[in-house]
Parts: sequence; structure tokens; C-alpha cells
Amino acid sequence: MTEETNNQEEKNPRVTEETDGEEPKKRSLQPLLWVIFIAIIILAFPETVMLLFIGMLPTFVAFIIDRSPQKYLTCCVCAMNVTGVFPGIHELWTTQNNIALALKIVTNIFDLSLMYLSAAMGWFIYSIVPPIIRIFIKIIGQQRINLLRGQQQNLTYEWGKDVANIIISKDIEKKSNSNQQNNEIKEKPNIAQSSAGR
Amino acid sequence: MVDAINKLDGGSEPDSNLKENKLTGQLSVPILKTSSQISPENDAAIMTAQKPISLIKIDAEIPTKSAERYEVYPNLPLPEYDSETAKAFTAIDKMQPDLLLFCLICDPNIPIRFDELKKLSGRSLGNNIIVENYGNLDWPLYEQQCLGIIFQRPGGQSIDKYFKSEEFSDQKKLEIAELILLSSITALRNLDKLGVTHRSIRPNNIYFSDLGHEDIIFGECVTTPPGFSQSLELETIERGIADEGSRGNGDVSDDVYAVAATISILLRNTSSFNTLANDQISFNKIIKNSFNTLVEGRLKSQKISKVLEGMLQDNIEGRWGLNDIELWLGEEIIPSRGYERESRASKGLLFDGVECFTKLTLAYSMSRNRSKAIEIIKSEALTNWCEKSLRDKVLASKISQVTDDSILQKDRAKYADELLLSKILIILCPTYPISYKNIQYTLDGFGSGLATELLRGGDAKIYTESISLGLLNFRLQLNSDEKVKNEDKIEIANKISRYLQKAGPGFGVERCLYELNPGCPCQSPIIIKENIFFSSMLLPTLDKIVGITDTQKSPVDRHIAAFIATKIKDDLEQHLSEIGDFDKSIQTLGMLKLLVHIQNNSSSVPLLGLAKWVGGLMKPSIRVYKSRKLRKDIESGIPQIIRNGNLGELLKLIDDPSHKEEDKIGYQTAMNEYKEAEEAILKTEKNSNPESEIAVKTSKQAASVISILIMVFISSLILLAN
Repeated sequence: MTEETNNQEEKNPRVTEETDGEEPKKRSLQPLLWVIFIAIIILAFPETVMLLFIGMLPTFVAFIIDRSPQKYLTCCVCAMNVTGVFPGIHELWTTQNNIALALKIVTNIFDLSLMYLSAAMGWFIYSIVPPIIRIFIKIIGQQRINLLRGQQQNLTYEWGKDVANIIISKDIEKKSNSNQQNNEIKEKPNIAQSSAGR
Repeated sequence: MVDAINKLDGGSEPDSNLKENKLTGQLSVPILKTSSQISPENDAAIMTAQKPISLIKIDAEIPTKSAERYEVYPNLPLPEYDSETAKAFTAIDKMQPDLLLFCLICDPNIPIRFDELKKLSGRSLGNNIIVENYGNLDWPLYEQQCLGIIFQRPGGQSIDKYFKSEEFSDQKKLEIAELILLSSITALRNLDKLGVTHRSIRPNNIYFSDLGHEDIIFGECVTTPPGFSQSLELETIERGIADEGSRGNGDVSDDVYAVAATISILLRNTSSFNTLANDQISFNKIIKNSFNTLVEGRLKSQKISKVLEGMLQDNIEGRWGLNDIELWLGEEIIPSRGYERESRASKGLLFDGVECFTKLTLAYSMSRNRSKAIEIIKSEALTNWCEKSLRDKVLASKISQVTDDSILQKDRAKYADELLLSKILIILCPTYPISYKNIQYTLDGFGSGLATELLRGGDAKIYTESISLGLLNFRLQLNSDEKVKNEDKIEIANKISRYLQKAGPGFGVERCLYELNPGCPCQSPIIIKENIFFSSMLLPTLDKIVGITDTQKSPVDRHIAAFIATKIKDDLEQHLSEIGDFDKSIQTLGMLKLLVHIQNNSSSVPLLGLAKWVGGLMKPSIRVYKSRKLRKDIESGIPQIIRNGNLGELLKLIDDPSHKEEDKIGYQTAMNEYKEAEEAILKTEKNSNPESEIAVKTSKQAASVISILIMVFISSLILLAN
């Protein structure tokens, strides 16, 4: 930093403090706004909220368990859970839309099983699909490698083995560099030892 | 006339048959067996060759069969015209069938005097045998192409036979000796006008040119190096000491000496020296001088002794010349010549059992016993003798200076002692041949000596070593006078020294051979049997031998490269260095470039065989291209070019710059593509690993998407159902 900028900071300490103070204020307001928003939702649609709360319990569990930043497990469970809850919601919204019906749905073992089994299905998809996809990725990758090797072979056939010299020479260069680094690393303790000896 | 001709032919029946056959045009000549000199092997070989062999004219142009004017009969030898190394056979000129000719078949293992042959060919030089023509012929005895030289037959017998005959009186023989002297003046002057020395004057090489014994002609002088087959009696002391192939062209004074020695031998009418070893003849000449050794006391005529004494003077300044002989023949008084006599020491130096009083005697003895010679140099006995007994302080100081230099350089020079001795001998007696290890060569005899050694399959290492050690230069620059006199020779010595320093094709000892012997045929094992004298003959010959040679080997070996570099005076350094490259592709391309250069310079005759040969060797050069497709395209283009026989087109196809550029760019692109593919492979390998972060993430995303899709699908169904 130059002296001028330092001086400017010294001259306007209040301005910087003010701008910094707005962000924490916003952050402290956010949960409150959420609470208000959720309270409004609960008050406006109590039957839907109740159905969703009970029906979507596996998703909440998955959300808590899933530590990954992308929350793919949560996504899978949530999507399938929604699929299971959707018939209940649809029935609620298309018929009486009251607490009693909501209670009837969540107490109906068949409806509840549908919701939780579909959530389980999501869990199942999350455990089964990725390994299969990874196998596919590997196969596709191998095919691409074969294709590229074929291209390289054609180049070698047309231009001779020397055409690969650029790779070999780079490898040799890399190896020599790494050897050099190793040697340097080996030499360092000696230097340290010698300085310690002094 | 026919009788006379038959008599000249030896009067034999088969020759008269030949005459008849010439007239009828039928050439089925009966086999003649008159020579006791022909060995059984020769006989057998000649017997197989029933038909006459055509002589193919060779010159700087391409040899053509149309010039088959002369025919040689291997079954009709003429031993009376044999030279020391070349056998004589009957020859006819189809255009002049009445002309009596003989052909000397040169030994391919002996260098010939080709430059002299070219000068003498087709010329009628008074008192010299006429060289009608020369050319190659496929000679069965040597199983290869040999140089045949066509001569007109002398009208009479050889002088040697005449003098051995009891039929003629001593007075008549003296008259003939004078006739030889008279003829020699014309003969040697005529040769001198052309810058040629004879150097083969000997009793059996001088003939009567007529049956009346009224004129003399000198025989051939081109089938061997100068002085090669001469007895030591006929050579001056200096040239006689040198090795037989290294005696040098010399000058007219050497021929004058040989004429005198020949006359002395003829008049003695004995072969008295045959019992003496060559060393003894030379030593006697040095001790007693040539005249005393060859003549004194043996001739009855005092008159002729006088001229022989003048002609056999060992000191070249005191030796009679052609004018002196002319004056003598005109019975005029010859003024005595003043020249510096050899100084004699007050006390002799005992060397190898001989007490030497002169530098010449000592130098000769030292050159014959080299180990003892080095001892007396190192013990300073030689220096002391020169200073005290010979009273030559300048010589003594030169010797001690060279000795001191040698001691200083001993660690560096491998052959310091030998070099020291050679230098001391040069200082002691500069007129003597250069003597190094077991070789001795005159200043003008180095080239022919080297050629003789190489053509006989010997090792020329000692010759090249003497040049590399600077011995020739040391002799040529012995003093300031010598430096000025030998300017041209110094330049040549420096040039050959440079050639020897370079080891690649086109240089080395092979280059020295062809530079110093312009008439030496190419000695490459590939074409040695074809007896190639000119670069223009090279490509057609290589083209011709394709079927009988190993075409896996390059048509340009060290000898051919050196031969081309010598004959073609263009700047070929680039091509030669390419041929010497370790990289086979550069080597092959260099070879092709050199051949194309010759083809462009010589003729546009299609060379189908050679193109096929060279085309088959082009694989390494085609491999320079990285692109297999381009290689195939080039390879498939070669047969088409081979059918045209044009090496230039072949070079254009293989060494095309646009092809090279295209290949370079393509290769670079391919390398980049390969690199990109490799990077993609590494990335895919990394990402497609089931444990990889991206695979895990993608798979989980996929699970989520599937769940959502199911949700949407089922929800939609429910909505639609109601």
C-alpha cells in the first residue's frame, strides 16, 4: 500500500466503519425475516405445512446427515420424497384443504408408507446410480483413450516413432527436474546439519 | 616386297599366312609358337584367344566401338619387340593393312608414362619408333582391359643382336656405335622439343630402321615409369640409387648418359656386370666414377673412349650435351668444362668397414646401413669428420643443427631417428635421392614411385610418411637457391601434404596417386579391370559393369572419389565431404550429387544400369523424409526415372526442396497432434477413474437428475390422471 491510501483511510475511519456495520445488520435480520416468513406460511397454510412437515421428515433427516456441500443425497431423497408426498398434497389442495383431511392423510398408513418408501427409493437411487454411472464413465473414457491411441498409432505409422519423441523428451525433462528437486531436498538437511554443527 | 615383310616378321610361315588372310579378310590365324620367353600359362591363355582382339580407342571423349581400327593377334607374339614389362603381339591397321605393326600390351600392375604416350602418339619423330595409336583391349592373359600401344615395326633387327653377332667386324661395330651417337642427337632433340625424356635407352631397345644398317631408331619409352627396367649401368649414380619406380623423368643429360653406357656395353660385347649386385655397381661408380667403372681399359678405340668419357661424367655440369657430341662427330675440339670437383677429406671416416673420403661415398654407405649411420651421427663422429677432416665448417654446423633439432623433437616425432638420418643424408649429398627407411626416390620420382608401390599392391605408407614428415619440403627448401628453383615443386609438395592430412574420400594417398600420376588408371576394385584413364569413361564403365559387380556397395569408393576430384577441376569439396559423412543418408546423397555432376559435365548418354544401381542405394536418403507416404511416393517414382537413365532427375526427385519443406511442416504438425492426443489421454485416464473427484461428482449429479426426472414424471402423470 502506498502512503496516500493509508492517509485516506486515516481521514475517513467513520465511513469504513459504517459500511462494515451494514452487513452484520443484514445478516442478523435474515433469520428474523425467515421466521416471519415461515410463521406467515404456517398461519396461512397450516394443513399443507403439517402434511409437508410429517411427509418430508426423511428429507430433513437426509439434509442433516448429508455433509457434502452439493447435498446430492438430500436432492435425491427430497425429489423422491416429494414424489411420495405429491398425491397427498394434490388430494388436499383439490378437495377440502383443511386440517382434518391433512390429519387423515398423515395418519393413513398407506399414504405415509408411500411418502417414506418413495424417500427410501431416493436413498436407494443415491446409493445405486453413482457406481453404475462411474462404470459408464470408465467405459466411455476407455473408449476415448482407445480412439486417441489409435490416432497416435496412425501418426506413428505415417511419421515414424520419432514423432513421439516430443513426449519422451518431456518425460525425461520432467524426470530430470524431479531428480534435481530430490537432490536439492537431500542436500538441504546436509546444509541444515552443517549449520547446526557450526 | 612380300618377302621383305615376311623376313621382318621373322620369316615364319604363319606370318605369311597372316598376310594372305589380311588380303582375303579372313582372320582365322594359325597359332604361332616361336617364343621361348612365353611361359606355359601365357601360352594357355593365348591359345584360348583364337580371334583377333580389337583395340578400343581411348581419349578424353567417350570410347566408341566405331574406332576399332586396329586388331591385335594374341596368338602371334613378336618377342623381339618385347619390352621389359610389356609383351609384343602382331597388330594390323584395317585402314592400312600393309603397314607392319606390333602392339605392346602394358602390364596393368606397372604404371605407364601416359602423358608422354599422348605426346608421342601419331607423331613421326626422327630416329624414334613411331607410336601409331593406343587404346584398351580385353586381354585374355590378364583377364581385364589392358592398354595396348600400337607401334610401327622397325625395319631392322635390334642393335643388341647385331653386336652379339660374330658376323660383323669390330671396325663395323665402331661405325655403328658412331651411328648410334649420331642418331641419338636427332632422337633426343626431337623428344626434347616435346618435353619428353626417353629414359629407356638400352641395348635391346635400339633398332636398325632398315635392313642395310644405315639408320637407327630408339625403341619405346612409355610402358614403364622412367628408368624402371634399366640396368644400373645405364642409369646415372643418383637415379640408379633410387628405387626402380622412383627414378624420375630426369632430363636429356640422363639420356645422354644412357646412350654412352649402352655403347660401352655394346662395344664390350660382354655382360660383365651381370655378376655384380646392383649395390656394387653403384658403389663402384661412386668410388671410381662411371667412366672408369664402365669403360676404362675395355675399349680398343681411344677415339670413342673420349666421347664416352664426356658423356659418362658423373657431375652433370661436366657431362657432355648433344651439341658436344655433334661437335665431336664433326671432329671438332670440345672445350673442357670447369666444374667443382668433389672435395676429399684429409682423413677417411671408417664406416661399416669402408674408409670414406668423400661425402658421396659416406652418404651412400650410410643410406645402406641406417642403424650404424644413426650411431655415428649421434656420437658426433660425423660432425667432427666434416669439420676436421673435410674442413667444411658450414656442413658441420648444418649437421649439428639438424641433430640438435631432432633431439628436441624426439618425444614428438615417432620416427625421429629415421627422419634425422634422412635429413643428414640430404645435407651431405643433395643430389642423391631422398632416402627414408627402405625407400629412395628422386625429386621428380616420388609420384611414379608411389604409383609403382600402389599398383603392385604394396604399402605406400612409407612414401606418405616421408611427405607428412616434411622430408620432400626439407630437400626442396634446402637453401635459398633451391627454394627459387623448386618453387613449382614446393607448391606440389604442399598440395599433396594437404591431401594426406585429409582422411575423407577424395583425399589421402589415393588423391596423391592421381594428382601426381595423371596417366594412372583408376585403381578402384570396382573398375580396376576396365582400365579407366579419363573421368568421361567413368560413368559409361560403371553403367556397363552393373551386372557383374556387387550393387549393394556404393559406386563411388575412395579411389573413384579421388580419381574424380583429380580429373574434374570443379569445386567438389562439398560433395566429397558429404560422401565422407558418417550419416548414411548424407553419404548416399553426396555420392549421387557427385555422379550427377560428372554426368552433367560429360555427356547426356542415358545410364540405365548405373541409374538402377544408384536408385537401389537411395533408401537411406529417402529415409530422411519422415512421411511414409512421401517415402512411398518417391520410391514409386524411382523406377520411372531409372528407365530414363537420368541421374539428375533421380537427384531432383530425392533432394526436392519442396518435398523437404512439406515433410518438415507435416512432421511438426504430426508431433503437435501426437502431443495433444497424449495430453487428452492423460486427462481422460485421470477423469475416468471411478475414484476420481469428477467421476464421483458427475455420478452423484446423475443420481440427483434421475431422481428429479422421476419426480417430474410421476407428478405429471398424477396431474394428467386427474
